Amino acid sequence: MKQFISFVRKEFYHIFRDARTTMILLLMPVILIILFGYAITTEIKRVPIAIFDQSRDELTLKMTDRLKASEYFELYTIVDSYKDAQALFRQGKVHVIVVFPPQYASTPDAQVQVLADATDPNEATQLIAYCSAIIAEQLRGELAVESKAVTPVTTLLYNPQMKGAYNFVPGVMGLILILICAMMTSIGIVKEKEMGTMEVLLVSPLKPIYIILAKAIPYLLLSMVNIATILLLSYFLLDVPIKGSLLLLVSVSVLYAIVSLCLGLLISTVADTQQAAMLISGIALMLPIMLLSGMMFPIENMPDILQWFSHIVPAKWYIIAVKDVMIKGLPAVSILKEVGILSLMAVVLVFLSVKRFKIRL
Amino acid sequence: MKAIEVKQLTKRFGTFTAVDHISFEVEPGEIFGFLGANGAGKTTAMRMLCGLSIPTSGEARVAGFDVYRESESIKRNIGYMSQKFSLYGDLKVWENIRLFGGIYGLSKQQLSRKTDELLDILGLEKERNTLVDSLPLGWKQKLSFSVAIIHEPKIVFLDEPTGGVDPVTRRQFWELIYEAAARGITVFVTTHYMDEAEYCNRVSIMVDGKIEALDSPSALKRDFKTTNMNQVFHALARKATRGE
Amino acid sequence: MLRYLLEKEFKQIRRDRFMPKIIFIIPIMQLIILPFAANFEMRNINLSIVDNDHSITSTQLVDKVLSSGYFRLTDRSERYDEALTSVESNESDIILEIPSDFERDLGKEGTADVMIAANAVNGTKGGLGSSYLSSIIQDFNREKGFTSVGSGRGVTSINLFNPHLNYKIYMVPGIMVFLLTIIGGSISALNIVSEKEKGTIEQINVSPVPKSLFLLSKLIPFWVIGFVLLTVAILVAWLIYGLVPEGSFGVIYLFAAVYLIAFTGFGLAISSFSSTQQQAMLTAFFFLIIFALLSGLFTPISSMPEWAQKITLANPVRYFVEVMRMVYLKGSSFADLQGHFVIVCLFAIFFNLLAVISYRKKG
Repeated sequence: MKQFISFVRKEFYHIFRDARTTMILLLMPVILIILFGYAITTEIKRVPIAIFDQSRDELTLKMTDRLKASEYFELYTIVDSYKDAQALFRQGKVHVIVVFPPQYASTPDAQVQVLADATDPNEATQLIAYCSAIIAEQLRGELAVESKAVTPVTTLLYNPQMKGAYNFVPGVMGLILILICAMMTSIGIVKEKEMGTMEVLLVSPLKPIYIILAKAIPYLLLSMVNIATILLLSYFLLDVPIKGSLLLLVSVSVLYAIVSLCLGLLISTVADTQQAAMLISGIALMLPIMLLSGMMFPIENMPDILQWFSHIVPAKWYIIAVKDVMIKGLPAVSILKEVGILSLMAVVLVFLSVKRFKIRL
Repeated sequence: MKAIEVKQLTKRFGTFTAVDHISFEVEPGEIFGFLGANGAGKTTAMRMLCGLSIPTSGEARVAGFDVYRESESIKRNIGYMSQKFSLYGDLKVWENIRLFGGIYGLSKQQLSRKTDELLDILGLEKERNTLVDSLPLGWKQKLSFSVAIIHEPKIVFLDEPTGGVDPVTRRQFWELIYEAAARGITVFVTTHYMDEAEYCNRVSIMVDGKIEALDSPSALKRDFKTTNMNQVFHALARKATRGE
Repeated sequence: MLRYLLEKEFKQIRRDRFMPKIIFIIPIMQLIILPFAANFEMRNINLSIVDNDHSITSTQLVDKVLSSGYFRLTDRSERYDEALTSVESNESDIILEIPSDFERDLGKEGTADVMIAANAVNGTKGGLGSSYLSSIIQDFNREKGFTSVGSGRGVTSINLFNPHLNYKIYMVPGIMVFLLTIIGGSISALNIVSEKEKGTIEQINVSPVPKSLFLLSKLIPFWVIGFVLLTVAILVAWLIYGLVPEGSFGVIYLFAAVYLIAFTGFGLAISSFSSTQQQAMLTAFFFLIIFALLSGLFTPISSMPEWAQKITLANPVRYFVEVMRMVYLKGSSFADLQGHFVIVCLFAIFFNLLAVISYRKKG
């Protein structure tokens, strides 16, 4: 046991003597939370717009003012020809151009034309909708039309302000744990292999499994510090509630961290060089998490084969469990499935990597 | 002209003085042993002479060039073999020879002649196309030395060249050193094998960043009234206050 | 001298067990998977329906919703609570509840409410889902002739450059940039530091090789690899997505040439600032993730807050993403992109100066 502790201490030294690495590891979750919390949104606001007004009558000027006043748009310029408009699009200066036909006010069925730069289709769809709504509102005001209709009344469950944070906080947790537990651990082990120091460790009286554990423990602790940082930041800065049990949340995180460690271990048995370990964990772990865990992009849209593939991404299950506990406040029974799958993954990975570890070393 | 002239050379890292006002001269064609315990400052001193590290104070000229202002000229006139094995393990034997020959500006004809010659001397003809990583350590060291002097430098610096090698290979390695010295190459070598110190024309012994003794092995043994260099070394190293 | 150094680099890359594979596998994998995965187009939203009215109109409305293609019916519940359970268990994303007396109210009062409850844990998804549902209801109103604006006035819209609103076409040029950035920035970041760890760099440092030449011998291979990669990516984009740039290849390659120099310089600078590969990797990764998130690749820059928009001005990825999208989709010419070109050149100079300064032959 004493030997084991001295091994763990050695690993701590490795990490903390490198001030920059420590700083980045501690800073990474903060930066991610801030970026995702404030910068990464698809919300439309102050999109540059140009207006081509061939009429310049009272009605079109009113509409121009209304567009200008809207929080969605910011008037970039007034153009005088289609040619100028085209040039603005090609230079990427504006995303929408509103064209008023000549004699707009006096033509009863005159159409306003909205030209949208649809390179980003989602943005274009929303921009056209907002533009149309503003113009229609102005028309309604002018013409005072009554209408009868089915009116949808929308409630947004769990997240009425539609905060992105509810979605990405669990995602960032999933990402950070993989980054530290799998990527850093695998590189750490492979480095000892590369440098030849692994053999020195393996001939010591300590069992290989303890050597691996000693490597893993500092990273495990570090990742728990990160989870705490993320939770604190999201609770106090982003007002994300922790509705369910904190203990349950932490337990699930530890389970997922163990799965990540096993993944890292497995990678370290496959890779010969640090570069290889990095590339494998980058491609096989980070990318799928960003893409297939539902963190950034909805899984439902993906083709079946990707959806099927997403089932073997541990982060997906972890993120579902975290959302259930943290945001929906559900009890332990409702995440039995996710916990079961993660545990199964851990068992399989331990088995595989221990087997490979023995063969390789 | 001396091969190496050092006056009051000093290197500090913060408050730690790694090399403390050392002075010595090395004659052309000499085999100069640079001895000292681990941490005595040997490698730091050598790195300054090779232009890898800038001295804090003092003077030094290598092959007639000043270490402060003319380090690039020094580099053209020296060879270097470090403690850490430093050929490219993922290149083949001939590719390493070609790379370093090319870097030092050997012509095509010179390159191919040198390659054949070198492989012949080392008995590595069959390994021409072997990746350096898969050679045994002793062969790697010999190859590394031959590559370090491929451009016939005025001086070659060897930093613990025989670390971890068996006695037979060490013997062969020293034969290579003698051959180089016979061709007029000055050899500056650090080691902590005292039997190797006996092979040198002169040795200096560093303790805690200072040179405590400098003479031929026989003169040193006489002065310290012993029969081998080992005892000379221990008599001096006992004074050391700083460990590794 | 350069020739021998370059020979060495190429031999080393070729002999690497992973590198050559990765150079081809990553781009193909990313280009195939990413556009499908990074897709904000909503399809197959899971819908629970609670129809309390069971009238003709309510059935028509339900049919209209289900035939839209956006939704997949998970269950029809009798009560709202039941539907909510299926949302809690993640089987369903959104609930449409039609109140009893829906048809009667509509007939009598001219207006009737329907309730939409969306799982908004994922804000984008919840928001888009409910707005799709609302717009389908608006369509339903129009079809039934419920709304009449009274005059023929209206708005027509044209989607330029991407008339079929294909999200993949939007993503692919951006992903190409992402690829070049990763290869240029991260693999080169590991290169010099790996020579430091192995000790081979000492042998170069004591030789008369000038440091700028040594850096150049590192830069050129990644530059060449970047070009090969870009070509592979362009071919894949054409084969899989039928995507061909509207603008000229010349502009793309010209920008790529400078951009690759910039990012290789970035990687090399990190490499010479670092002492271990782990450190270099983490540093590169740290910057690359910030660059990627603030590049407008995944979310529009105009949606970002002021401070974040300011940061994007110092982000080289942003400019190249814009350029690629503009050349690919809008056919922008070099004249349109002069400003971008100057900026990318400045980044190339900056990063490479940083690399030369930070790479010390002396300790």
